Amino acid sequence: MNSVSSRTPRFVRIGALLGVVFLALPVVGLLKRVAWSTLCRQLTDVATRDALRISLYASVCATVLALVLGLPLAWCLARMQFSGRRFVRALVLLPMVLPPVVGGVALLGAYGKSNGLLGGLLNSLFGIQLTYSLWGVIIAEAFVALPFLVLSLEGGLRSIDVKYEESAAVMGATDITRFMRVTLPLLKPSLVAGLMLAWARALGEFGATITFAGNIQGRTQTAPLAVYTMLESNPEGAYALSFLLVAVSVGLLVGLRDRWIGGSS
Amino acid sequence: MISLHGTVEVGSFSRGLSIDVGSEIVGMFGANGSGKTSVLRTIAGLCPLGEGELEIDGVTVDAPAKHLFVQPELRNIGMVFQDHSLFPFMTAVDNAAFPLQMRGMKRVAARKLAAEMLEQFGVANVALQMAPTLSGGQSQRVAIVRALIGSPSAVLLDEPLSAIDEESRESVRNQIREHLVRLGVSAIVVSHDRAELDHLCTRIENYTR
Amino acid sequence: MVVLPIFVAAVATPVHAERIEAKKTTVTVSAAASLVNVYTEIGKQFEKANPSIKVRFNFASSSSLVSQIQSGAPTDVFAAADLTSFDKLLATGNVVKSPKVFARNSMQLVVKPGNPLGITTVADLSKSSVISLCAKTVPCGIYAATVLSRYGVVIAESKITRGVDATATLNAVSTGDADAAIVYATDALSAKKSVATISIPAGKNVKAMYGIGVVRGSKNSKQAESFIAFVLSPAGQKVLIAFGFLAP
Repeated sequence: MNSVSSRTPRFVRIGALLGVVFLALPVVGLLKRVAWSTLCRQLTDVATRDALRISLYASVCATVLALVLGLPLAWCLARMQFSGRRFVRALVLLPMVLPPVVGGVALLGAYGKSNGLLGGLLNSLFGIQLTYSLWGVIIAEAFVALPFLVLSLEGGLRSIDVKYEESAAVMGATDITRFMRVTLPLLKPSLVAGLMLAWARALGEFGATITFAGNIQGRTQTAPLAVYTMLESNPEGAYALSFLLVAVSVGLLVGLRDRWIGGSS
Repeated sequence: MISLHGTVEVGSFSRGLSIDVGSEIVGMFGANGSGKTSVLRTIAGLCPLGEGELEIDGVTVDAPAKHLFVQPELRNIGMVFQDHSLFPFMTAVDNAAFPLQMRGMKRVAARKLAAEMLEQFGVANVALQMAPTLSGGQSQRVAIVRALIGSPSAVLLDEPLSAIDEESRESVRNQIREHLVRLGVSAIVVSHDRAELDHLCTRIENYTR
Repeated sequence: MVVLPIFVAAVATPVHAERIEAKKTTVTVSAAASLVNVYTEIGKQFEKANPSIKVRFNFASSSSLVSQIQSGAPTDVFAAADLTSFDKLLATGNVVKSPKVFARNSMQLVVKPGNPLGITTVADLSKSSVISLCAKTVPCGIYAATVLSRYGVVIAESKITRGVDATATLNAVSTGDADAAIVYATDALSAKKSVATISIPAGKNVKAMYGIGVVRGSKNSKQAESFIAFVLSPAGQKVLIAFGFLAP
């Protein structure tokens, strides 16, 4: 049973091993820096607790926002014919290729209070300020997470065989019922994978958050921002929080397993 | 009552067709790829007519000239698809109960009725199995139940016995005919097996190219 | 097949160029973020005056640089926005001599152009919704805290966005939505029209002492000393004054 394609040449194995070492070494290095004896105390420090609370709340809200905006987008991209399709697709992918800080500057241009296109209006008419607020964090995180969700959902929608929706229609299921009872269950794997990736991205966002929502402890200082700030004032706390973030990420990836690379285990 | 007079889109070309079905089981015989499935899909509302008119139970459901088209979900049709198209994420009984739930029946009652009918067709033993785990013959029987269960106005069957084993064919055929006669509806059966149609249908139309 | 010779030529050329430049020594200067503009200019003038020396800069907050140096980052000169940074390095043995004070700085209040909130003094800061200050542990942040305490103004942490260095702190007002910031007078000057400045009277202001010194373990100590000498020379001082620094 040793087919041609399953024999792995030695240099390929060595290359893969180097890749593993390249990725594993930083994680090991981080674990070495953690002061295990003070870990609990560091993680229950006020600034850290605030950061975790804000990160959790904002990332979940951002993921929901990404879903609300992303599902219709994915649907149209997957199933509708319309001119300007390529433009919309490029727009959806833009936050993925844009350096996060640039994304933050762009968000300021749109939603900033001072001279943002929409932000200025919101402020003068309703006194709403999106920057330097939790909403600012949510917007920044949703901005960078949206592409991940749309890509996953679009892929899922494309791969669904229309025959199931057709047979549901013949059996009397109207649009919404078809979507809820047939399309969504078929979409579940892509939906779950997309949500997890989007959430992970939102959780880890730094550049856009700090530029748009600022670095206000207890209000907009998310976990990544807290790590960055603590690196100077409290390195031990920074390492402790970093360890926690790594643990969460690993947990997420284990949860996803092979689903997001589209293979079976 | 099914009355179709017009043209049906088969792939990239149109095919003129005139068919009237009363309270009977009409068979359409033709080779694979001749467009028989397209005719069924048009009657079900999954494709529009090219031109002409389609009436079901006296109600015009498709008339391109008058810009009239009734969506499939409003046509009350039972259909057995060529590849069964059972929902892979549901059990056999939930699949069979689906049309009843779409007509408003509550889940528990629908499942009960579905289970009874599955028994009649000899697949009660797999009622709680997930659809992808069923054998070809089992899933085809579930598909047949699903098509007949909702008291449809018309029944369309696309190669309904292709996966059923030789010995069981006769009994399944009888079951189908019994149900159709009891419902008193118009039914169209499409098959490339002439003998099959002879046994099941009251009348046969030739649909060769 | 054509690719290989081109590749070799491409790799060989910089090496060849480096051999010509090998006669030049590179001096690495780690300097506080508030020195970014003035030191870049000083660097240019120093290189002109000393053709055999090339200067490479590494700008970050003074505290960040202290950590870097303590972790062994290779650098020849350290220029900080306060003297406490040098105290820390003296304690860990990363510098052996006391630093030379090469300039002084003071703090200034910056607001959006046109001063929409009508802020006239630090005391008015309670009017704003969000103000930008440097992180608590960097010199710029410590100085700002001193100014606030001298005015007896207390601002809730929930209204303060912390920049990791002086540049980021200023950007929050010039590009972002922060209403005001307390930054170095030199940064306010560099920002020109993108912010409006309000001076803080000397009585309530701080005198930030900027220190410079050679880092222990430097492999180019001669050139390092020569850079420091240039900063302290009339030529260097002229540049510093031009950028808004005060004489030591």
